[in-house]
Amino acid sequence: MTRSFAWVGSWLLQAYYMLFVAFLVLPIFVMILMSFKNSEFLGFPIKGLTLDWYGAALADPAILGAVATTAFVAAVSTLIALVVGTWAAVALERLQGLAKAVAFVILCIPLAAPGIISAISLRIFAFDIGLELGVPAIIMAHTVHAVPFVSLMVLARLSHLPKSQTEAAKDLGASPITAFCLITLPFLKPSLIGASLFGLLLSMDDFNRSFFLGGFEPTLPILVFERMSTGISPQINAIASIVLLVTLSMGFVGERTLRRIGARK
Amino acid sequence: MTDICVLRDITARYGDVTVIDRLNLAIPEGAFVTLLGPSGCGKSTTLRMIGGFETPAAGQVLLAGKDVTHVAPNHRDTNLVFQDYALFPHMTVAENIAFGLKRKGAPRDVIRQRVDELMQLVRLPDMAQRLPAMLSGGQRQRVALARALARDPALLLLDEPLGALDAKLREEMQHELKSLQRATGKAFVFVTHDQEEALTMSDVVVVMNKGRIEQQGAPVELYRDPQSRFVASFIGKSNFFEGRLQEASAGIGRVEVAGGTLSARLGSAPLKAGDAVVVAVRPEKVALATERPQGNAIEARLQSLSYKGAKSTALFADAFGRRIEMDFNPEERRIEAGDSSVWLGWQDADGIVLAA
Ligand SMILES: Nc1ncnc2c1ncn2[C@@H]1O[C@H](COP(=O)(O)OP(=O)(O)O)[C@@H](O)[C@H]1O
Ligand SMILES: [Mg+2]
Repeated sequence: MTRSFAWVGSWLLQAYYMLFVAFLVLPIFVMILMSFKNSEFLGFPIKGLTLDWYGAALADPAILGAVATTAFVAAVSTLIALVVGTWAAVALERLQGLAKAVAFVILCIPLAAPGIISAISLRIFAFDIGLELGVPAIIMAHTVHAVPFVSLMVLARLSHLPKSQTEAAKDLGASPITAFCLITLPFLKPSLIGASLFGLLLSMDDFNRSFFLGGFEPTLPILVFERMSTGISPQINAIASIVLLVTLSMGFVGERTLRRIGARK
Repeated sequence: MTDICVLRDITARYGDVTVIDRLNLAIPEGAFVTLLGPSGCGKSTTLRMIGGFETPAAGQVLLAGKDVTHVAPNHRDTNLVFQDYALFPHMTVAENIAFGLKRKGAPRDVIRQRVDELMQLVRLPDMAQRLPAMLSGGQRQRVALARALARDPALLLLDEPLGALDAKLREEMQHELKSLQRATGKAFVFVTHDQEEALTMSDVVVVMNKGRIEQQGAPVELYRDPQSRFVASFIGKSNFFEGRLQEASAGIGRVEVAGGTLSARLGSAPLKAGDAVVVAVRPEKVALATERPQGNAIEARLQSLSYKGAKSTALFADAFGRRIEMDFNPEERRIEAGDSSVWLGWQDADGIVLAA
């Protein structure tokens, strides 16, 4: 009895799954579709397709400026976060017992704070230290945000590095710093690549911090937000589609790189 | 002969636990010295103090006459072959071996020549461009050796380097290590918990127990003249008969044991009449008879026979619950399984009286 109706259950499950996937990707799909529509009005029906919106977006100096700002902020904040985060992880790994647990919890607290709270507190902090709102302030905020992620990713791998590896390097005449550069860093390479990608995406995608700490040079998410308040146009869809493409290819390249490193080991 | 390395009253602690307790040890130049002892007795800690990876809580480490107690490993003229080999996974075999030479700032062609030479020495030609992950256990072991020898250290330290190999390869590597040591003329300090390995390879065996040195000497000395019950049971096998020393004269002690008296050589530790002692007898010294023999004699019954080729073992038990092992060659004599009691005996000189 139960057996003969089993197909109903499995069919329902499949249908549910399809629906779920559609729910996830449909909005993105519609957004991309609208970026090709040859009319100002967003919505169906679509009468004809065009690449004009892409042309317009890529010719708009405000958009190009925002792209440059976003890329600069992402690159610089990720780079600083990489250095600081790795250093923090190495320092933490050396601690023992209670001190290690406490340091770990402190490192994780920022991850639990809601984005808006973090953004407001960083704005207050910037004000306190006399840092003017603008690109440097955004970089500071993005760096602070990314450091715990970098540290956690580095720590996860660092705990798998046998102590004998750096000891062997020192035994063979390497100073502690040389041992770190020649043995520890190469070992950490996969997690450093992962952390860089994650830091870049985190920064490029950030709204809260860029908004609260921004000055007169908006990042792309802020610019899009400002444009939308004056009325939505397919040009924004075109920007969003390009961002999506860049993000996806970064993820893809990262995945391939990590896999290549993994295969070599 | 001078000593290349001397440990003077070394004490090591982890937290409150004393792991090495006022240890004194001298490593003669050009000698193969083995630290032997059960797991956890402090062999690795001792080796790591020589290499500079642990700093003793008290005492001194002297290397070629100089006090190096507080000198970092990268400034010590010793090299260590790690238990897990610790090869650098992202470097080729050649790069691994060259690592220590590059740190010295040796010119490139000198490095290349030395790497070639070492790869010949450890018999690893044609492997220069491989990564460690592509090597077998035995090959990795050789790379680790070549890498540690590259800087031509005054002293080579080896922490159970053969532990991860299978039995056959292990035996092969024992011989290779020994001939490598002879060829280089360097002092080796080798750590193992395997007594057979220690006896096969060493000029000097240092038996350790609970952070102290029990006894040290040539393998033959340790086997013939163990000076404690621990050494007698750890190096080879021994039958033990517990009792009380009745009298000691002319190097022979008479010991009262359950069911009679036994005579045996006196160990070097001072003992006096009335002391609790054990008589230790090697299984290959025990002889079997149907009649009560002259001198030392124990009446026992056969418990089991285990066939191990030329050196098979018979296990006996006597009326006092003692188990006595005897080695014999089944090609030379037969031992019949049976219920009747037999006599076991040995020469006075084949037993040794030790403090209980
Ligand atoms: N890093 C450490 N922290 C605390 N205790 C340790 C540490 N390393 C070794 N020990 C302890 O010291 C003792 C001696 O260890 P070790 O020298 O490694 O012995 P062996 O090499 O003879 O097996 C052991 O009881 C071990 O548990
Ligand atoms: Mg050990």
